[in-house]
Amino acid sequence: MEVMSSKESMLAAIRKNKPLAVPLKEICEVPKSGDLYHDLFARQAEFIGARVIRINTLEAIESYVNENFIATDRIFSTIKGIPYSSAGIQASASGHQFSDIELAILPAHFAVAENAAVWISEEQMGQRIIPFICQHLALVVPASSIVKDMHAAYASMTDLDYGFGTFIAGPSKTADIEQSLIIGAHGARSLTIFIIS
Amino acid sequence: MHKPKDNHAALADAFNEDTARVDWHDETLWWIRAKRDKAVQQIPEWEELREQASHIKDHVLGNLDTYLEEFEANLQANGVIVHWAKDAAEHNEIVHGILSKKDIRQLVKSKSMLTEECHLNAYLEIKGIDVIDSDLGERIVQLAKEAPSHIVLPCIHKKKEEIGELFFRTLGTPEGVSDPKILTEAARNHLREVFLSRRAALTGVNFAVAETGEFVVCTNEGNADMAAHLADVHIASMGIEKIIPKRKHLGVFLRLLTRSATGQPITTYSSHYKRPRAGQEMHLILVDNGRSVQLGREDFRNSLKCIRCGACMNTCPVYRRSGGHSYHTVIAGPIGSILAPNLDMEKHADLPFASTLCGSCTNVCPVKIDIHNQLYKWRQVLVKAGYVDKKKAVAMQAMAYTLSSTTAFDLAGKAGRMILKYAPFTVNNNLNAWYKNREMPKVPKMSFKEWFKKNGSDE
Repeated sequence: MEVMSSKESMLAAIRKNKPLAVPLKEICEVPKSGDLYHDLFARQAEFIGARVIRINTLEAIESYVNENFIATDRIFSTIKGIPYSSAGIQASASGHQFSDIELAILPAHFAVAENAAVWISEEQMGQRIIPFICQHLALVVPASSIVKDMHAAYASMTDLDYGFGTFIAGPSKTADIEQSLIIGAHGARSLTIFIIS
Repeated sequence: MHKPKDNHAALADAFNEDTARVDWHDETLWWIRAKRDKAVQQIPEWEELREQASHIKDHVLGNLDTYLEEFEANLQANGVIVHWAKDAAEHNEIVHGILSKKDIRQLVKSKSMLTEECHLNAYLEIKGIDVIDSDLGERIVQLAKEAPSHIVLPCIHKKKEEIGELFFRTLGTPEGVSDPKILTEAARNHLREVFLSRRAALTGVNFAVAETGEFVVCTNEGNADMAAHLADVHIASMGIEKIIPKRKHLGVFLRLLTRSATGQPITTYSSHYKRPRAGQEMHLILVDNGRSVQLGREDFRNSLKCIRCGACMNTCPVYRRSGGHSYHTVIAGPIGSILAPNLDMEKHADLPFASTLCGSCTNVCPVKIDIHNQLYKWRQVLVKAGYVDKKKAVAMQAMAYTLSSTTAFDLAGKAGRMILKYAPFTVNNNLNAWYKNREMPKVPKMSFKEWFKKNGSDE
């Protein structure tokens, strides 16, 4: 007798035991776009420990960085037009070489007002590890891209393809020791969000 | 029967010896429950969201085979290697096979309750593979050689002084230091070395999207991403019930998950893994381990909707005052008590009884699992199957008789009142389980029935 593979036996068990299929209903509404959710976004960002800076030009990023971060050559960016290099990143470069980045300044696709999450995909990161391994992270979000909630977020992603993408909401954190909130677990110790008009 | 020493009541008794710690544990979890309430109250459509989530999961359970096949095809198209594991042993062998093929002897993990369920760490250690858990709470319990006591807050049972002492012994922090900030920083530095030196990473999966073949991993610490993006080999392990049909459904579940878990609007990182990065090998293991059996149990299949938020634990009066370890299973609390008997009825027969059936778990569950009803139904299955202590079965029969017979009920009431009035010492002692941590009630002069006969019959 032929022995069934694990896949076949799992699928056979599921087919035997599954309940009658119900058709999929969509209950949740996608909020209309066009409304402005900047205030909600700013409130939520503050609640989760991020800093929101409104700017009109990319030059404003440089002056903000000069005032608020220690002077270092270990600032990394993938944004053209600001004076920080992307260190000639190769797709094949090992992520390990970025372990000493002090500040990474990266562009993002859009942000979500209800939870202050910012969506950034692989090609904006330079390397997948960069938004996580840097000591401090800054994301640059177009002002017109802020959507109300996660339903609107996924609706706006229909045409985006990515090998890897992530919502980042605030700096990395943990409360595993007696529920004391500590900012700076394994990822960035701070998150600055530049909203650019 | 398993040793009575290992049952929930006995383990809870041991936990209850330190009253101050029980109160602290209770209050900490209730505080998290209160944060959950605050977050939920900001979402007017919360009930609609729960309904939608529950419905999507219903739909998935009825089409689980086709969604798994769709997911597999899309994963493969994305360049991910797919494995099917019918049980824990096969899952562990697959992980070991992937590592040994590459001659890798060190693995860094992010939180995965599934690998706890499969006892992967113990298996790999026997095979000579060093495993490090990178979630702070999981690292703490791993260093302490303990199991997590909560699925979201693995070391919620530990005091910071104990963690300070543990880090002093294992990570070389100064003696007597218990400041969470200093301890977290020490763990950050220790684990950064680990992330930078491991060639293989294993993560769990929060949600898997059939439509696109991507899977989502949620963390606050960033440990899953630190591990996965630095490793040459990324292995993701998931239970087959984690699948959802379409990417847009993530909008529903990501809105529910963290608000229910900790009261945060979303986790810091919700990472969507679709294709391996250039030069990386990405594996995904689909694990059954009893899930297809639970799917066939009509009364209990709803438990497969669980998204592992832990809200039912934080709200449970029994969990809060007995501690996660008293459940002697990987997933503690109300949801764990309906999942565990599916895997081994005999070993976990005590768990569905570790509940007051108050229903608070059901009320907070983001996917509307009828948890307390399932606990009640498991009790009946377990008693019928003969897995319940004889004393409990006899007591329940006596109770059933008393409640169904008017004469017996009146007599029992009278006897109770007489005893409490004239011989309180016979019940006010530690032989009576109802006396622990409680005073027995003051006795009324008569029963309600007697009172009604005297006063209530005129109008």
